[in-house]
Amino acid sequence: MSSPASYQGIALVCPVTLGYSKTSEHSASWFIGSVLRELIASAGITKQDVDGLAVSSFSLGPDSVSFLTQHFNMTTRWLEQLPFGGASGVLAMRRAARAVQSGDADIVACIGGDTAVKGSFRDLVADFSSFSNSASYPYGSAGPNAAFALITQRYMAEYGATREDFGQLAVSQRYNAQHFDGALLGGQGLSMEDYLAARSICSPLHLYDCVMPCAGGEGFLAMSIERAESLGLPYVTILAADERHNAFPEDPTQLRGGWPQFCQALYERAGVAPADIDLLQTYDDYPVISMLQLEGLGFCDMGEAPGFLRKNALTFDGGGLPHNTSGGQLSNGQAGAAAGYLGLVESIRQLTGASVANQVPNARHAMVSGYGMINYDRGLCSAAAILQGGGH
Amino acid sequence: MTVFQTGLPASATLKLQQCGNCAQVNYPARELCGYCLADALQWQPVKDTGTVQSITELQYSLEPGYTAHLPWRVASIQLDCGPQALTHLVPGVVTGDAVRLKVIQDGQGNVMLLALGCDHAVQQAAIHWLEEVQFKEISA
Repeated sequence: MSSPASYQGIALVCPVTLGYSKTSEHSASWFIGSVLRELIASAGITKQDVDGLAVSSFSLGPDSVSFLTQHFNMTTRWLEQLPFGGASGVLAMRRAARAVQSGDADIVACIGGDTAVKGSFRDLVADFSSFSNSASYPYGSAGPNAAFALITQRYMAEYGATREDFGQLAVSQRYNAQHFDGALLGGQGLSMEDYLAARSICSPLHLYDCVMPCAGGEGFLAMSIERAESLGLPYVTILAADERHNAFPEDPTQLRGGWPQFCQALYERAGVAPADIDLLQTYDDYPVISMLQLEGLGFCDMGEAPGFLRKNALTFDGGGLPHNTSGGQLSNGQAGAAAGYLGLVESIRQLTGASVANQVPNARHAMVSGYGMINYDRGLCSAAAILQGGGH
Repeated sequence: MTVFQTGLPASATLKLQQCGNCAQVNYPARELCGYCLADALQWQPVKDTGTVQSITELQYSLEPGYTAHLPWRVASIQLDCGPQALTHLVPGVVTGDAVRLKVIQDGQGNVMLLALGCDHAVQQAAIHWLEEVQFKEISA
Protein backbone atom coordinates (compact mmCIF):
# COMPACT_ATOMS: atom_id res chain seq x y z
CA MET A 1 0.00 0.00 0.00
CA SER A 2 1.27 3.47 -0.83
CA SER A 3 1.66 6.05 1.91
CA PRO A 4 0.17 9.58 2.08
CA ALA A 5 2.62 12.23 0.86
CA SER A 6 3.88 14.91 3.21
CA TYR A 7 1.69 17.89 4.07
CA GLN A 8 4.73 20.16 4.03
CA GLY A 9 4.19 23.79 3.24
CA ILE A 10 0.67 23.88 4.66
CA ALA A 11 -0.39 26.14 7.53
CA LEU A 12 -3.58 25.88 9.57
CA VAL A 13 -4.61 29.22 11.07
CA CYS A 14 -7.40 31.19 12.74
CA PRO A 15 -9.30 28.78 15.01
CA VAL A 16 -12.91 29.95 15.36
CA THR A 17 -15.56 28.53 17.71
CA LEU A 18 -18.90 30.32 17.58
CA GLY A 19 -22.41 30.57 18.91
CA TYR A 20 -23.01 27.39 20.89
CA SER A 21 -26.59 27.25 22.16
CA LYS A 22 -28.98 24.47 23.07
CA THR A 23 -31.39 25.48 20.32
CA SER A 24 -31.33 28.28 17.79
CA GLU A 25 -33.72 30.27 15.62
CA HIS A 26 -30.98 30.54 13.02
CA SER A 27 -30.35 28.24 10.08
CA ALA A 28 -27.18 26.23 9.50
CA SER A 29 -26.12 28.78 6.88
CA TRP A 30 -26.12 31.46 9.61
CA PHE A 31 -23.65 29.41 11.65
CA ILE A 32 -21.44 28.63 8.65
CA GLY A 33 -21.52 32.21 7.36
CA SER A 34 -20.83 33.64 10.81
CA VAL A 35 -17.79 31.40 11.21
CA LEU A 36 -16.61 32.48 7.74
CA ARG A 37 -16.99 36.16 8.71
CA GLU A 38 -14.91 35.57 11.87
CA LEU A 39 -12.26 33.65 9.92
CA ILE A 40 -11.89 36.50 7.42
CA ALA A 41 -11.71 39.10 10.18
CA SER A 42 -9.24 37.12 12.22
CA ALA A 43 -6.93 36.50 9.21
CA GLY A 44 -7.09 40.13 8.06
CA ILE A 45 -8.11 39.11 4.54
CA THR A 46 -11.13 39.82 2.36
CA LYS A 47 -13.89 37.46 1.31
CA GLN A 48 -12.40 37.49 -2.22
CA ASP A 49 -9.20 35.95 -0.83
CA VAL A 50 -11.07 32.80 0.20
CA ASP A 51 -11.07 30.74 -3.00
CA GLY A 52 -11.89 27.36 -1.46
CA LEU A 53 -14.69 26.34 0.88
CA ALA A 54 -15.14 23.02 2.69
CA VAL A 55 -18.33 22.60 4.67
CA SER A 56 -19.91 19.95 6.89
CA SER A 57 -23.46 20.18 8.20
CA PHE A 58 -26.35 17.86 8.98
CA SER A 59 -28.96 20.63 8.97
CA LEU A 60 -28.01 22.61 5.84
CA GLY A 61 -30.53 20.88 3.58
CA PRO A 62 -32.08 21.59 1.15
CA ASP A 63 -29.05 23.81 0.59
CA SER A 64 -25.53 22.57 -0.10
CA VAL A 65 -22.09 24.15 -0.14
CA SER A 66 -22.67 25.13 -3.75
CA PHE A 67 -25.72 27.23 -2.79
CA LEU A 68 -23.74 28.81 0.04
CA THR A 69 -21.44 30.55 -2.46
CA GLN A 70 -24.54 32.44 -3.62
CA HIS A 71 -25.75 33.09 -0.05
CA PHE A 72 -22.36 34.58 0.80
CA ASN A 73 -21.93 36.23 -2.59
CA MET A 74 -18.51 34.73 -3.15
CA THR A 75 -16.72 33.13 -6.10
CA THR A 76 -14.49 30.16 -5.36
CA ARG A 77 -12.44 27.79 -7.49
CA TRP A 78 -12.67 24.83 -5.12
CA LEU A 79 -15.60 23.44 -3.10
CA GLU A 80 -16.07 20.41 -0.93
CA GLN A 81 -18.93 19.13 1.20
CA LEU A 82 -17.93 16.49 3.73
CA PRO A 83 -20.75 14.36 5.15
CA PHE A 84 -18.50 12.50 7.57
CA GLY A 85 -19.93 13.55 10.93
CA GLY A 86 -17.29 13.34 13.63
CA ALA A 87 -14.47 12.71 11.17
CA SER A 88 -15.34 15.75 9.05
CA GLY A 89 -12.77 18.14 10.52
CA VAL A 90 -9.69 15.99 9.94
CA LEU A 91 -10.99 14.96 6.52
CA ALA A 92 -11.68 18.58 5.52
CA MET A 93 -8.16 19.47 6.68
CA ARG A 94 -6.61 16.69 4.58
CA ARG A 95 -8.50 17.62 1.43
CA ALA A 96 -7.99 21.36 1.88
CA ALA A 97 -4.25 20.84 2.41
CA ARG A 98 -4.01 18.86 -0.83
CA ALA A 99 -5.95 21.57 -2.69
CA VAL A 100 -3.49 24.22 -1.52
CA GLN A 101 -0.45 22.01 -2.19
CA SER A 102 -1.60 21.35 -5.75
CA GLY A 103 -2.58 24.92 -6.55
CA ASP A 104 -6.31 24.22 -6.79
CA ALA A 105 -6.92 26.88 -4.13
CA ASP A 106 -4.89 29.40 -2.13
CA ILE A 107 -7.00 29.87 0.98
CA VAL A 108 -9.56 27.27 2.00
CA ALA A 109 -12.09 27.93 4.76
CA CYS A 110 -13.01 24.67 6.52
CA ILE A 111 -16.24 25.01 8.47
CA GLY A 112 -18.61 22.75 10.38
CA GLY A 113 -21.89 24.33 11.38
CA ASP A 114 -25.31 23.15 12.47
CA THR A 115 -28.45 24.54 13.94
CA ALA A 116 -30.75 22.77 16.39
CA VAL A 117 -34.48 23.23 16.98
CA LYS A 118 -36.78 21.25 19.21
CA GLY A 119 -37.39 17.89 17.56
CA SER A 120 -34.59 18.22 15.01
CA PHE A 121 -32.48 15.54 16.69
CA ARG A 122 -35.36 13.06 16.48
CA ASP A 123 -35.87 13.91 12.80
CA LEU A 124 -32.16 13.38 12.11
CA VAL A 125 -31.91 9.97 13.79
CA ALA A 126 -35.31 8.72 12.56
CA ASP A 127 -34.15 9.13 8.96
CA PHE A 128 -30.37 8.81 9.23
CA SER A 129 -29.50 6.00 6.82
CA SER A 130 -31.16 3.07 5.11
CA PHE A 131 -29.52 0.53 7.46
CA SER A 132 -30.39 2.51 10.58
CA ASN A 133 -33.93 3.19 9.34
CA SER A 134 -34.64 -0.48 8.67
CA ALA A 135 -32.63 -2.34 11.29
CA SER A 136 -31.81 -0.07 14.21
CA TYR A 137 -34.23 2.83 14.76
CA PRO A 138 -37.36 0.57 14.76
CA TYR A 139 -35.99 -1.37 17.74
CA GLY A 140 -36.78 1.10 20.50
CA SER A 141 -36.00 4.32 18.64
CA ALA A 142 -33.20 5.45 20.89
CA GLY A 143 -30.91 6.85 18.18
CA PRO A 144 -27.15 6.40 18.58
CA ASN A 145 -27.51 5.88 22.35
CA ALA A 146 -28.60 2.26 21.80
CA ALA A 147 -25.70 1.40 19.48
CA PHE A 148 -23.18 2.89 21.91
CA ALA A 149 -24.83 1.32 24.93
CA LEU A 150 -24.31 -2.07 23.28
CA ILE A 151 -20.67 -1.26 22.48
CA THR A 152 -20.08 0.08 26.02
CA GLN A 153 -21.65 -2.96 27.65
CA ARG A 154 -19.52 -5.31 25.53
CA TYR A 155 -16.38 -3.28 26.31
CA MET A 156 -17.09 -3.43 30.06
CA ALA A 157 -17.68 -7.20 29.93
CA GLU A 158 -14.58 -7.83 27.81
CA TYR A 159 -12.07 -5.62 29.64
CA GLY A 160 -13.52 -5.06 33.11
CA ALA A 161 -14.04 -1.33 32.63
CA THR A 162 -16.20 0.29 35.31
CA ARG A 163 -18.49 3.30 35.30
CA GLU A 164 -15.82 5.19 37.27
CA ASP A 165 -13.41 4.67 34.35
CA PHE A 166 -15.80 6.34 31.92
CA GLY A 167 -16.48 8.94 34.59
CA GLN A 168 -12.79 9.97 34.57
CA LEU A 169 -13.31 11.25 31.03
CA ALA A 170 -16.57 13.10 31.75
CA VAL A 171 -15.31 14.67 34.99
CA SER A 172 -11.91 15.79 33.66
CA GLN A 173 -13.51 17.26 30.55
CA ARG A 174 -15.97 19.22 32.65
CA TYR A 175 -13.06 20.66 34.60
CA ASN A 176 -11.47 21.71 31.30
CA ALA A 177 -14.77 23.22 30.13
CA GLN A 178 -14.93 25.32 33.29
CA HIS A 179 -11.78 27.01 31.98
CA PHE A 180 -13.10 27.55 28.45
CA ASP A 181 -15.43 30.45 27.68
CA GLY A 182 -18.46 29.40 25.70
CA ALA A 183 -18.61 25.75 26.79
CA LEU A 184 -22.35 25.21 27.14
CA LEU A 185 -22.04 23.10 30.28
CA GLY A 186 -18.93 24.86 31.58
CA GLY A 187 -20.96 26.75 34.15
CA GLN A 188 -21.86 23.59 36.03
CA GLY A 189 -19.24 21.51 37.80
CA LEU A 190 -19.35 17.73 37.59
CA SER A 191 -17.95 15.54 40.36
CA MET A 192 -17.50 11.79 40.19
CA GLU A 193 -20.39 11.55 42.67
CA ASP A 194 -22.59 13.58 40.30
CA TYR A 195 -21.52 11.38 37.40
CA LEU A 196 -22.28 8.13 39.20
CA ALA A 197 -25.60 9.38 40.62
CA ALA A 198 -26.98 10.44 37.20
CA ARG A 199 -30.09 8.76 35.86
CA SER A 200 -29.80 5.85 33.48
CA ILE A 201 -30.53 6.65 29.84
CA CYS A 202 -29.78 3.44 28.07
CA SER A 203 -27.87 0.99 30.26
CA PRO A 204 -24.96 1.06 30.91
CA LEU A 205 -25.04 4.68 29.66
CA HIS A 206 -26.18 7.34 32.09
CA LEU A 207 -26.87 11.03 31.58
CA TYR A 208 -23.26 12.28 31.56
CA ASP A 209 -22.17 9.62 29.05
CA CYS A 210 -24.44 11.14 26.42
CA VAL A 211 -23.70 14.33 24.51
CA MET A 212 -26.28 17.07 24.40
CA PRO A 213 -27.33 17.97 20.84
CA CYS A 214 -26.94 21.72 20.27
CA ALA A 215 -26.25 24.40 17.67
CA GLY A 216 -22.84 25.88 16.93
CA GLY A 217 -20.02 26.42 14.48
CA GLU A 218 -16.30 25.68 14.24
CA GLY A 219 -13.79 26.58 11.55
CA PHE A 220 -10.21 27.25 10.50
CA LEU A 221 -8.28 28.29 7.40
CA ALA A 222 -5.77 26.25 5.39
CA MET A 223 -3.17 28.15 3.35
CA SER A 224 0.53 28.03 2.47
CA ILE A 225 3.08 28.73 5.18
CA GLU A 226 4.35 31.64 3.05
CA ARG A 227 0.89 33.17 3.01
CA ALA A 228 0.41 32.68 6.76
CA GLU A 229 3.77 34.29 7.46
CA SER A 230 3.10 37.20 5.13
CA LEU A 231 -0.20 37.78 6.94
CA GLY A 232 1.61 37.55 10.28
CA LEU A 233 -0.60 34.69 11.48
CA PRO A 234 0.56 32.12 14.03
CA TYR A 235 0.11 28.70 12.44
CA VAL A 236 0.14 24.97 12.93
CA THR A 237 1.62 22.42 10.52
CA ILE A 238 0.42 18.90 9.73
CA LEU A 239 3.08 16.27 10.49
CA ALA A 240 0.91 13.35 9.38
CA ALA A 241 -2.74 12.42 8.90
CA ASP A 242 -4.71 9.41 7.75
CA GLU A 243 -8.20 7.93 7.63
CA ARG A 244 -9.99 4.59 7.35
CA HIS A 245 -13.58 3.73 6.54
CA ASN A 246 -15.42 0.61 7.70
CA ALA A 247 -12.27 -0.93 9.16
CA PHE A 248 -12.57 -4.41 10.70
CA PRO A 249 -16.14 -5.06 9.49
CA GLU A 250 -15.80 -8.64 10.71
CA ASP A 251 -15.72 -7.55 14.39
CA PRO A 252 -19.19 -8.47 15.76
CA THR A 253 -19.05 -5.50 18.16
CA GLN A 254 -16.92 -2.44 17.44
CA LEU A 255 -14.17 -2.70 20.05
CA ARG A 256 -11.68 -0.91 17.77
CA GLY A 257 -12.02 1.80 15.15
CA GLY A 258 -9.80 2.15 12.08
CA TRP A 259 -6.88 3.77 13.96
CA PRO A 260 -4.79 0.61 14.55
CA GLN A 261 -4.58 0.22 10.77
CA PHE A 262 -2.48 3.37 10.39
CA CYS A 263 -1.31 4.39 13.89
CA GLN A 264 2.29 3.17 13.71
CA ALA A 265 2.90 4.59 10.24
CA LEU A 266 1.31 7.88 11.33
CA TYR A 267 3.89 8.31 14.12
CA GLU A 268 6.70 7.26 11.79
CA ARG A 269 5.76 9.83 9.16
CA ALA A 270 5.37 12.49 11.86
CA GLY A 271 8.72 11.60 13.44
CA VAL A 272 7.23 11.62 16.93
CA ALA A 273 6.08 9.02 19.47
CA PRO A 274 3.01 8.96 21.76
CA ALA A 275 5.20 10.33 24.56
CA ASP A 276 5.84 13.46 22.45
CA ILE A 277 2.13 14.28 22.21
CA ASP A 278 1.38 17.26 24.47
CA LEU A 279 -2.38 17.17 24.04
CA LEU A 280 -4.92 14.74 22.67
CA GLN A 281 -8.34 15.58 21.25
CA THR A 282 -10.55 12.55 20.81
CA TYR A 283 -14.06 12.42 19.38
CA ASP A 284 -16.07 11.89 22.54
CA ASP A 285 -19.64 11.31 21.44
CA TYR A 286 -19.54 8.61 24.14
CA PRO A 287 -16.69 7.96 26.61
CA VAL A 288 -16.11 4.41 25.34
CA ILE A 289 -15.15 5.80 21.94
CA SER A 290 -12.49 8.01 23.52
CA MET A 291 -11.12 4.83 25.09
CA LEU A 292 -10.98 3.14 21.68
CA GLN A 293 -9.01 6.16 20.44
CA LEU A 294 -6.54 6.08 23.35
CA GLU A 295 -5.93 2.43 22.46
CA GLY A 296 -6.01 2.73 18.68
CA LEU A 297 -3.67 5.73 18.67
CA GLY A 298 -0.96 4.00 20.66
CA PHE A 299 -1.32 5.56 24.11
CA CYS A 300 -2.04 2.10 25.53
CA ASP A 301 -2.84 -1.41 24.30
CA MET A 302 -6.30 -2.65 23.31
CA GLY A 303 -8.49 -3.03 26.39
CA GLU A 304 -6.09 -1.06 28.60
CA ALA A 305 -7.62 2.40 28.44
CA PRO A 306 -9.30 2.00 31.85
CA GLY A 307 -5.90 1.33 33.45
CA PHE A 308 -4.39 4.25 31.53
CA LEU A 309 -7.09 6.58 32.82
CA ARG A 310 -6.52 5.47 36.39
CA LYS A 311 -2.84 6.46 36.12
CA ASN A 312 -2.86 9.59 33.95
CA ALA A 313 -4.49 12.94 34.63
CA LEU A 314 -6.47 14.20 31.66
CA THR A 315 -7.05 17.80 32.73
CA PHE A 316 -5.30 20.60 30.81
CA ASP A 317 -3.18 21.45 33.86
CA GLY A 318 -2.83 18.04 35.51
CA GLY A 319 0.63 17.20 34.19
CA GLY A 320 -0.56 13.98 32.54
CA LEU A 321 -2.00 13.80 29.05
CA PRO A 322 -4.18 16.90 28.52
CA HIS A 323 -7.27 15.56 26.77
CA ASN A 324 -10.22 17.37 25.18
CA THR A 325 -8.84 20.54 26.63
CA SER A 326 -11.90 22.72 25.93
CA GLY A 327 -14.26 20.14 27.41
CA GLY A 328 -15.03 18.11 24.31
CA GLN A 329 -18.58 17.47 23.21
CA LEU A 330 -19.49 16.03 26.58
CA SER A 331 -19.18 19.51 28.06
CA ASN A 332 -19.68 21.78 25.02
CA GLY A 333 -22.60 19.94 23.45
CA GLN A 334 -22.63 18.21 20.08
CA ALA A 335 -23.25 20.84 17.44
CA GLY A 336 -23.95 18.37 14.66
CA ALA A 337 -21.09 18.19 12.17
CA ALA A 338 -19.32 21.09 13.91
CA ALA A 339 -18.51 18.53 16.60
CA GLY A 340 -16.25 16.89 14.04
CA TYR A 341 -14.20 20.11 13.87
CA LEU A 342 -14.16 20.90 17.60
CA GLY A 343 -10.99 18.97 18.49
CA LEU A 344 -9.05 20.25 15.50
CA VAL A 345 -10.01 23.87 16.12
CA GLU A 346 -9.13 23.51 19.81
CA SER A 347 -5.74 22.03 18.86
CA ILE A 348 -4.96 24.95 16.56
CA ARG A 349 -5.93 27.31 19.40
CA GLN A 350 -3.70 25.48 21.86
CA LEU A 351 -0.68 25.09 19.53
CA THR A 352 -0.77 28.76 18.48
CA GLY A 353 -0.98 29.89 22.10
CA ALA A 354 -4.42 31.41 21.52
CA SER A 355 -6.07 29.55 24.38
CA VAL A 356 -6.82 31.62 27.44
CA ALA A 357 -7.60 30.03 30.80
CA ASN A 358 -7.16 26.44 29.58
CA GLN A 359 -3.82 26.91 27.80
CA VAL A 360 -1.58 23.83 28.04
CA PRO A 361 1.89 25.21 28.81
CA ASN A 362 4.53 24.66 26.10
CA ALA A 363 2.17 22.64 23.92
CA ARG A 364 4.01 21.71 20.72
CA HIS A 365 2.42 18.49 19.40
CA ALA A 366 -1.25 17.61 19.29
CA MET A 367 -3.00 14.43 18.22
CA VAL A 368 -6.48 15.08 16.85
CA SER A 369 -8.79 12.21 16.20
CA GLY A 370 -12.10 11.95 14.38
CA TYR A 371 -14.80 9.31 14.40
CA GLY A 372 -18.03 9.54 12.53
CA MET A 373 -21.14 8.26 10.80
CA ILE A 374 -22.83 5.87 13.17
CA ASN A 375 -24.57 3.53 10.82
CA TYR A 376 -26.71 0.77 12.34
CA ASP A 377 -24.26 -0.64 14.89
CA ARG A 378 -20.94 1.20 14.59
CA GLY A 379 -19.08 4.32 13.52
CA LEU A 380 -17.69 3.97 10.01
CA CYS A 381 -15.12 6.79 9.67
CA SER A 382 -11.90 6.95 11.70
CA ALA A 383 -9.28 9.64 11.16
CA ALA A 384 -6.36 11.19 12.98
CA ALA A 385 -3.74 13.90 12.51
CA ILE A 386 -0.57 14.89 14.33
CA LEU A 387 -0.12 18.65 14.37
CA GLN A 388 2.86 20.79 15.34
CA GLY A 389 2.76 24.31 16.64
CA GLY A 390 5.39 27.00 16.80
CA GLY A 391 4.91 28.58 13.38
CA HIS A 392 4.64 32.36 13.32
CA MET B 1 -48.15 5.59 15.06
CA THR B 2 -44.96 5.17 13.14
CA VAL B 3 -44.57 2.77 10.26
CA PHE B 4 -41.02 1.40 10.10
CA GLN B 5 -39.68 0.14 6.78
CA THR B 6 -37.74 -2.81 8.11
CA GLY B 7 -37.81 -4.63 4.79
CA LEU B 8 -38.31 -7.99 6.52
CA PRO B 9 -40.86 -10.39 5.01
CA ALA B 10 -43.69 -11.39 7.38
CA SER B 11 -42.81 -15.05 7.71
CA ALA B 12 -43.38 -17.73 10.36
CA THR B 13 -39.76 -18.78 10.02
CA LEU B 14 -36.75 -16.48 9.87
CA LYS B 15 -35.93 -15.41 6.33
CA LEU B 16 -32.93 -13.20 5.51
CA GLN B 17 -31.30 -12.21 2.24
CA GLN B 18 -29.00 -14.93 0.95
CA CYS B 19 -26.83 -14.49 -2.12
CA GLY B 20 -27.51 -16.88 -5.00
CA ASN B 21 -23.93 -16.37 -6.17
CA CYS B 22 -21.73 -16.68 -3.04
CA ALA B 23 -24.30 -18.04 -0.51
CA GLN B 24 -23.47 -15.38 2.12
CA VAL B 25 -26.36 -14.17 4.31
CA ASN B 26 -26.74 -10.36 4.37
CA TYR B 27 -28.37 -8.18 7.04
CA PRO B 28 -29.54 -5.33 7.25
CA ALA B 29 -31.54 -5.51 4.01
CA ARG B 30 -29.86 -4.24 0.85
CA GLU B 31 -30.13 -4.61 -2.91
CA LEU B 32 -26.76 -6.13 -3.82
CA CYS B 33 -24.76 -8.78 -1.98
CA GLY B 34 -22.32 -7.00 0.35
CA TYR B 35 -19.73 -9.74 -0.18
CA CYS B 36 -19.56 -10.37 -3.95
CA LEU B 37 -21.74 -7.45 -5.14
CA ALA B 38 -23.88 -9.82 -7.21
CA ASP B 39 -27.46 -8.82 -7.94
CA ALA B 40 -28.61 -12.18 -6.60
CA LEU B 41 -30.09 -11.66 -3.12
CA GLN B 42 -33.19 -13.64 -2.24
CA TRP B 43 -35.15 -13.90 0.99
CA GLN B 44 -34.44 -17.47 2.07
CA PRO B 45 -35.09 -19.46 5.25
CA VAL B 46 -31.88 -19.33 7.32
CA LYS B 47 -30.71 -20.91 10.55
CA ASP B 48 -32.42 -18.87 13.29
CA THR B 49 -30.00 -19.49 16.16
CA GLY B 50 -27.45 -17.12 17.60
CA THR B 51 -25.69 -15.80 20.70
CA VAL B 52 -26.35 -12.62 22.67
CA GLN B 53 -23.33 -10.30 22.33
CA SER B 54 -24.62 -7.36 24.31
CA ILE B 55 -27.83 -6.02 25.88
CA THR B 56 -29.06 -2.54 26.64
CA GLU B 57 -32.11 -1.42 28.60
CA LEU B 58 -33.60 1.76 27.14
CA GLN B 59 -35.05 4.20 29.67
CA TYR B 60 -36.49 6.44 26.97
CA SER B 61 -37.52 6.32 23.33
CA LEU B 62 -38.03 8.87 20.59
CA GLU B 63 -41.19 7.03 19.46
CA PRO B 64 -44.41 7.11 21.51
CA GLY B 65 -45.13 3.46 20.67
CA TYR B 66 -42.33 2.43 23.03
CA THR B 67 -42.73 4.91 25.84
CA ALA B 68 -45.59 2.94 27.47
CA HIS B 69 -43.36 -0.14 27.74
CA LEU B 70 -40.14 1.34 29.13
CA PRO B 71 -37.62 0.18 30.09
CA TRP B 72 -37.21 -1.61 26.78
CA ARG B 73 -34.56 -4.26 26.17
CA VAL B 74 -32.62 -4.48 22.93
CA ALA B 75 -29.85 -6.95 22.13
CA SER B 76 -27.08 -7.39 19.63
CA ILE B 77 -27.10 -11.00 18.38
CA GLN B 78 -24.36 -12.82 16.52
CA LEU B 79 -26.32 -15.13 14.23
CA ASP B 80 -24.97 -18.59 13.44
CA CYS B 81 -25.83 -17.98 9.77
CA GLY B 82 -23.34 -15.08 9.61
CA PRO B 83 -24.62 -11.56 10.24
CA GLN B 84 -25.10 -9.63 13.42
CA ALA B 85 -28.59 -8.32 14.19
CA LEU B 86 -30.12 -5.81 16.57
CA THR B 87 -33.30 -7.34 18.00
CA HIS B 88 -35.98 -6.98 20.61
CA LEU B 89 -35.34 -9.26 23.56
CA VAL B 90 -37.71 -11.23 25.78
CA PRO B 91 -37.30 -10.99 29.56
CA GLY B 92 -34.92 -13.40 31.26
CA VAL B 93 -32.28 -13.67 28.54
CA VAL B 94 -28.77 -12.49 29.47
CA THR B 95 -25.53 -11.79 27.61
CA GLY B 96 -23.88 -14.95 26.32
CA ASP B 97 -27.17 -16.88 26.10
CA ALA B 98 -28.05 -18.91 23.06
CA VAL B 99 -31.21 -17.54 21.43
CA ARG B 100 -33.57 -18.19 18.53
CA LEU B 101 -34.79 -15.37 16.33
CA LYS B 102 -38.48 -15.01 15.51
CA VAL B 103 -40.13 -12.61 13.12
CA ILE B 104 -42.91 -10.73 14.91
CA GLN B 105 -45.40 -7.96 14.15
CA ASP B 106 -45.99 -5.15 16.59
CA GLY B 107 -49.37 -3.49 17.25
CA GLN B 108 -48.91 -1.29 14.17
CA GLY B 109 -48.04 -4.21 11.91
CA ASN B 110 -44.31 -3.45 11.77
CA VAL B 111 -42.35 -6.63 11.01
CA MET B 112 -39.29 -6.99 13.26
CA LEU B 113 -36.87 -9.44 14.84
CA LEU B 114 -37.26 -10.80 18.37
CA ALA B 115 -34.73 -12.94 20.24
CA LEU B 116 -36.32 -15.74 22.27
CA GLY B 117 -34.62 -17.71 25.01
CA CYS B 118 -34.03 -21.43 24.49
CA ASP B 119 -34.80 -22.27 28.14
CA HIS B 120 -38.36 -23.54 28.82
CA ALA B 121 -39.07 -21.19 31.74
CA VAL B 122 -37.92 -18.19 29.71
CA GLN B 123 -40.18 -19.26 26.84
CA GLN B 124 -43.19 -19.54 29.16
CA ALA B 125 -42.54 -16.07 30.61
CA ALA B 126 -42.24 -14.66 27.11
CA ILE B 127 -45.81 -15.67 26.17
CA HIS B 128 -47.30 -13.27 28.71
CA TRP B 129 -44.79 -10.54 27.78
CA LEU B 130 -45.62 -10.81 24.07
CA GLU B 131 -49.31 -10.16 24.85
CA GLU B 132 -48.46 -7.26 27.10
CA VAL B 133 -46.38 -5.47 24.47
CA GLN B 134 -48.77 -6.51 21.66
CA PHE B 135 -46.17 -8.46 19.71
CA LYS B 136 -47.69 -11.19 17.55
CA GLU B 137 -45.86 -14.17 16.20
CA ILE B 138 -46.53 -14.68 12.52
CA SER B 139 -48.42 -17.85 11.68
CA ALA B 140 -47.52 -19.96 8.69
